[in-house]
Amino acid sequence: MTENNGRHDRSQLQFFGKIVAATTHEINNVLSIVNENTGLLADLLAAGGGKGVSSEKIDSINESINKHLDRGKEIIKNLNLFAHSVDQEVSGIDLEDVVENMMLLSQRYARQKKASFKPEHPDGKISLQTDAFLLRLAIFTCFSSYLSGCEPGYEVTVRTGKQDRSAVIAFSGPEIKDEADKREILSQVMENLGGSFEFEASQGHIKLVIAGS
Amino acid sequence: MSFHVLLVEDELDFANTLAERLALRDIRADVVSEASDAVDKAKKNDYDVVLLDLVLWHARGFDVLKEIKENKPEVPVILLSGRGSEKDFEEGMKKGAYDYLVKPVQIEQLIEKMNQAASSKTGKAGT
Repeated sequence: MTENNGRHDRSQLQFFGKIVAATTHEINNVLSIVNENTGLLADLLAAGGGKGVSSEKIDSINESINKHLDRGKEIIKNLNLFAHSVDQEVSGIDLEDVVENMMLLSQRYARQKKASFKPEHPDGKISLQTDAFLLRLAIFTCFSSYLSGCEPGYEVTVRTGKQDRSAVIAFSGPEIKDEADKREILSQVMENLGGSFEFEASQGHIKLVIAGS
Repeated sequence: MSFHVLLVEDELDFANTLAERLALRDIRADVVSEASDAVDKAKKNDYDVVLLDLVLWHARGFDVLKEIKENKPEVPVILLSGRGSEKDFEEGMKKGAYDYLVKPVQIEQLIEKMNQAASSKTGKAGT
């Protein structure tokens, strides 16, 4: 194994770890909220012998539990999609689905910086054959470039589109801190995807061009 | 005897429901989600215990812990975390936390811990 390959494998594992850490934290929050709501219901029933709890209160607790169960299901569904992205080296994907998947899984990191990602898919569904895992790593590396260097409270637009026979993801937001390690990851990943990237830190612009559409 | 708690937590649905449960047990909890509000409240009030989530949206719980302990060293701080990390526990204790609990936490366990923490401050025991 060369030193470069070793670093590349490590960055892939770190990416996997970061996503699992963030999403399991979110799932744990869901469980904690459900735990408190069922506990509250039990407390109220015990306190009033079952007679002192209004149906409105029970409805509101039930609504909160259902809201967070739906949130948990959405996180698990997206984590599952992410986990299966390593199944095949090349598979058929829809670009906007992959972008949305990564946005949801990166939400915790974005919220920590009071940042938000705004998706735009003016060309609609763009299907391509590519390495679904490496593409996710490239997208996450772009997200991380904004999150690590920018002041809190900003929006990054993530626009998918077509360019000749390739697919494009264009990120635009505030000025980015230019970090060599992120450029290196992008360089390696985009080379493996048979694509290219543009990184204009001062303009707050990153563009991924992916072959295979 | 009742006591007054500051609950620092960015998952407001969790915090507000827990506060409601504590109120049923005669424990008053003020809920804040921002680090700066937590430090302000801790400075201005005489809390018996602070419950502090380690992972806040916009700040590290350890930084909040440090600021609270600098301003109100006598107030016991119980850390709440979604992960049972030995490293977090050690860092928290080193920075002056009273104890560390892993979420989801059973309310009886939490209250027992809060009672012990409040007693360590003033000899005051909760419900």
